[in-house]
Amino acid sequence: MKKTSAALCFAAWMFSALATGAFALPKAGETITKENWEEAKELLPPSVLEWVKKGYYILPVVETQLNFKGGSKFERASRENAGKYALDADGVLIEKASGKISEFVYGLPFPDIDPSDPQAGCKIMWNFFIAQMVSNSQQYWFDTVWVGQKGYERRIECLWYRLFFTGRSLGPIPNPDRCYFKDLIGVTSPYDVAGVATLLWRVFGLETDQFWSYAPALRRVRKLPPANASDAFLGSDFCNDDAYLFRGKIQTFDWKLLGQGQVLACLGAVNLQPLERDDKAQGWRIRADYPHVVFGYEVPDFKGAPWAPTNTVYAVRPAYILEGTPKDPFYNYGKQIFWMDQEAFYPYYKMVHNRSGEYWKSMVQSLVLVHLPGQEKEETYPGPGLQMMYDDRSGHASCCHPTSPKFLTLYASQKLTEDEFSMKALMRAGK
Amino acid sequence: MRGRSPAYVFALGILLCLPFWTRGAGALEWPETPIGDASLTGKIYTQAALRTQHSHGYTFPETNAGDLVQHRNFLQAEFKNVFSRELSFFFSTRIVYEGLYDYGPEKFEPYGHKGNDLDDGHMLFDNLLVDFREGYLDINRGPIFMRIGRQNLSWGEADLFRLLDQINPLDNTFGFLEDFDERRIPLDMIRLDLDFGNAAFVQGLLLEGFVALGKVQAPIAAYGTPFSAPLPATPIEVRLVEARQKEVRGGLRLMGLTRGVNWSLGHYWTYPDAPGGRFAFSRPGDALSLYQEIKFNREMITGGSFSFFTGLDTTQTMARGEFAYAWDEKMFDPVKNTPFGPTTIFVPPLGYIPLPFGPQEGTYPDAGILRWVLGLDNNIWIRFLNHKNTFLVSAQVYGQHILHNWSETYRLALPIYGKTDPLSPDYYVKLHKNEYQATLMINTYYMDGDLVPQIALAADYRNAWYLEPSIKYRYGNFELLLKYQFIDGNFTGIGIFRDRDQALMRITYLFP
Repeated sequence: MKKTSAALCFAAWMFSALATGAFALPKAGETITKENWEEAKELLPPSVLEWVKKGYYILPVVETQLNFKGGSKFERASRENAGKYALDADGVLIEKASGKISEFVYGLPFPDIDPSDPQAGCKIMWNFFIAQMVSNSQQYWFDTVWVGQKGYERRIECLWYRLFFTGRSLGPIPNPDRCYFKDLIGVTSPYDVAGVATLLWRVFGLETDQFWSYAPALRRVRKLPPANASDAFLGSDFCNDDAYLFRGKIQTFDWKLLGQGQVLACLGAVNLQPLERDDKAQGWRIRADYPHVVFGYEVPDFKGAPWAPTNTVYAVRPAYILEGTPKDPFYNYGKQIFWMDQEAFYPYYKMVHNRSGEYWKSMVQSLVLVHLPGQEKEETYPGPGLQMMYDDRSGHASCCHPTSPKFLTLYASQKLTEDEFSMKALMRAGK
Repeated sequence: MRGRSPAYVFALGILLCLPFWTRGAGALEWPETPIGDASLTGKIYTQAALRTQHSHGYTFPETNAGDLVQHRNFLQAEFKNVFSRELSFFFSTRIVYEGLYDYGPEKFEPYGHKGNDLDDGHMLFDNLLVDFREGYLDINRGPIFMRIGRQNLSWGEADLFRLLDQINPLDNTFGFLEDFDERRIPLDMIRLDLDFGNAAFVQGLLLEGFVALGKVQAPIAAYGTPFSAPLPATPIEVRLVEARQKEVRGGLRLMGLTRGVNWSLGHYWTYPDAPGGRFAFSRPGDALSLYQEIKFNREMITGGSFSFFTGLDTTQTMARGEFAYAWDEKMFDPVKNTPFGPTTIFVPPLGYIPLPFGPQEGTYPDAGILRWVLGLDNNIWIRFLNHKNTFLVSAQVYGQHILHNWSETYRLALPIYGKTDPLSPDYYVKLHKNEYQATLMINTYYMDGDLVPQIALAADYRNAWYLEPSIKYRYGNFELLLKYQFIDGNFTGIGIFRDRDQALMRITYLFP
């Protein structure tokens, strides 16, 4: 897609989307295909709409009764946070009264978004950031598949462990390193990259994050520069900062709320997914009956693209449309445009542009809402069901299943402690 | 095992590993890695190298451009089982068949299949090597991590230069330009890590200690093999001083993070890869019983390392450094190592003056040597060449300074081609009090990570250099590597191999 046509498409989309109620919404039970793509033309990012028009992408529309607001406990905490928090000039989340960095927040820090507020975009991102950490910790064992025009190319398997220090439903834990979260991503196969691992400490404020990698060939831990965060992850279409659709440091971007509208939200499941106890991990895991996402390359007669999901569903949801531009001139991406759920503060899509402002690629992420047994009304945890990045320039995609019963998806494990995000753990992980 | 075909060797390896086969999570052992699962991973490759120039000097046998100098067939299998969060097991084995001596140029045929007197457990120029590599238990409980068994351990921050990374010996018969990981010889070792967490001004304070037992020495590439040092044939018998079974390596390292700087300080005892040498007599004072004695001597090393992000956002540069002081390194000094010595004495204004002493045994002089490396790693976006991935540019400077017991007669144990008097220090390459080298490496990813071009350069300040362009292409589970190794300059450092330029191709299959 050329720069000009992408810009025109986007402008047209914005015009339509902002004219709320000016179009008919697709009904539950319908399927959006290249034959009826016009029904979704105000409900999808322009790049995704192009995929539909070309027949790459097919969207079954459903109706859902999911509570996207996070449950009564979370909603109550969000309401209580009203007026407590603010952003400093750099976009860092601070306590309004003291002006100090907020070290722990549970619930949305900005429950009331005023679209006319110049800081609205940044506040929405902080809501997203805090809301994703309600589950206390997350552990994913998943695969990432390289998919070309002709289908499957190769795959790697990874582990991704996240320990949150803010946003936690279980309350604060000791945080001597002053971090928002610590992430460990490691490759478990194939042989040539097995053992490659990165450890990220997302530190408070404007301090540079701590970022290390373990290289099995060297048998050493190496410190990495922040530029690696926007470098392609092992050559895939994702970069490190694409984890959870956006894992960049919010305060290192300029944020702008472009508008509000509705979007066909990608859902991993129509219903809340109850978690089951995993005694070994002392945590909660996704159940075996959760539907594993099947991509086009796995279905012989699938008519769409090999990288398109075949069994996810889409529901109409209110969305914010945001633009994030990196302050760091060295960051590989230019502006990114996000489609974020207005209640769940969960991003379903983003369009990535290069440093010259030309459209480059788009990412889709489905939402799975899970809950602990018996707590479906009080609190739900959001998580990514599928993640797919399609590079429109090269015609290449990377697909992964962060949540899948075929692998391992764990929440709130009491065994996942700070010790597992240390140098010792990183060295131990390797050969 | 002479005469076995590569196919036989690979089949044997696969059969050995099959009983362990199950699907699993691979090499990591973090919590909640699916426990009880086991994994088998590995690689098989075949690698051939062709000389691209005629030999001139002490390369023996003499080779011509186009001669095959290596056809290695290699299988490595790694098995891992995670019994519980606290306990896991790792085992690796490999089979290497070097076809050069069976079907390569005839000139190499006499040099294959021989056991090596200088080695223990590593059949150096046997063309078939079945090698139990690593096998260890990991025990992890609270702040304690223990790894018990045969293993490798690498300390430090430097690439290519081994300052603190001298715990495991290197197999020099494997090719001096190969990855360290394939060349490291695992040791029977106990490694213990104690994590103190945050203490005072240090985040993640970690104390690591190791003790390694057993008489494992760095094998020397033997005369007549493609990786041997450029040395003339010697009529004098070479004897290796047998290492004692009780020999011990061991040390401690403290590491942590302070104000964004990762640092480490360590001290250990080890046996460096370069042995000491001298002339000695089987029967004291009897010149007819003269032989060359080769001995690996225990050495004490103290040093440290650091790495940090420079904070220069426009260049995104990481800085790293490492230093190591070798307290008592054995030096090659022909004046002191030779049997007739001192046959000459060095008098600065007059040079070497002969003295009429009778035969006597040589000695091993010691020196204190400081070595350091400073490196900068820079991930640079060159978007018109690659819009998706950075170019990694990694540069290092290496220095070596003899601070204690310096002697003008120290030499590299390498004779200069054309010189005729082996008793004269001038017969050997001079060692300077201060030596410097530099390296540069640049690489990036193309084609969604399938294509990795790289260029590596090493230069010695005494005008010797090495250039290695390479390209790696990945297709599914197969990998093709093409590499050219170009060496030139003076006869010192890497320049001692200046008549051995070669082109190399490797095809690898990765499993599963």
